[in-house]
Amino acid sequence: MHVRSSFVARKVLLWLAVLGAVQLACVGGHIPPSTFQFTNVVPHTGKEEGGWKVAQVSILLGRLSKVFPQAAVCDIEVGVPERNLNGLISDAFAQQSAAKAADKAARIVLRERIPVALACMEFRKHMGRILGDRVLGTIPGARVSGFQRVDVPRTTFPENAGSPPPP
Amino acid sequence: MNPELTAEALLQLVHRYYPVGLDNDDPRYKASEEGQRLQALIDAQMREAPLAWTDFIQRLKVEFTDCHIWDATMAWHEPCYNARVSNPGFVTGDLVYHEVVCLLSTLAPVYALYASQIDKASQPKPKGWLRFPPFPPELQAQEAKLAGLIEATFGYTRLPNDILFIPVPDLVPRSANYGLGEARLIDLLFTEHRW
Repeated sequence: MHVRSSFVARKVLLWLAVLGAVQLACVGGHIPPSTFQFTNVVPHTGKEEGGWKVAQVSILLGRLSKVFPQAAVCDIEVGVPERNLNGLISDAFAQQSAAKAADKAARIVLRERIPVALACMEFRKHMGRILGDRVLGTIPGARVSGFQRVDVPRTTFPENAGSPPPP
Repeated sequence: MNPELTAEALLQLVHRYYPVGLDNDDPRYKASEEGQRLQALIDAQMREAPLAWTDFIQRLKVEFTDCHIWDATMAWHEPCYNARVSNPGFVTGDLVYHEVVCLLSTLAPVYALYASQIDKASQPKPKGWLRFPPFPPELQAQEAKLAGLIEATFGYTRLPNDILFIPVPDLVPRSANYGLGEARLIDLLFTEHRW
């Protein structure tokens, strides 16, 4: 009897551990870099700073955490220069930096437990600061906003959440 | 000051381009008469930068030979042209540098200048500042030269801090992550993205 209850207890603990890990993964967002597909919109010429590329993503907040309604969506446009005062910014670096900033911003917003109407704006604010801050940002000058352009491809996170809305 | 450029006149002006009491995520924002007016202006900006602006950027490169000139205009975001002039002798990757930044509005013939300084070598962590006039003495010659070029080229008027930072609580800039109550006149005439 003791052996059986100990086995059950271990099984329950294992399930709890798995559940905890899954929840942690969801809460953190873990948005993959490939979610951010950058498209050049201002060509970069010469050796000086300039150019601009953007990625647009619809993030389903409801799939990040049960804190939000299933239908809650946050549209974000991430824009980065092709070259800033630190040098050239590759697509791969922009993607990794955007994904990391989005993960951190998601963690902050989920921790704050704010209403969904404000969550999207706060998410963009935090992501923009983490990514584009002049001093501490990974890509100084980058900006995060709602969709501004209508001529770039859009992705959705999570990827299997259905087609992105038409432009 | 030109009577069309007083604080009161500029406040009236921005109310023609931004809808009262609406967040920029609200579908009524862009559909409003004011939002449509701003959209038309932005569309015109996006079609082609005016020759006067592209010429001005070339002129900056001649006048500030030892500096980096960055045309940082984001025409689809805001009604503003934006250029950044680095300190003389700047080399890509420098840890300590400054820029003097000019903002030219497309809503009114007005401009603003600010300075941005970065010190990545600072310990224990990098630091920086963003400053409106008065600039530190070492930046004042660059400030005066840039202001002179703008006024000679475009005939624009420079707005003082007390006008730039007037609160406009009933309007929200087009692409800012702002709610109602956060905007200042500078955010609406130029941009909230200052760095």
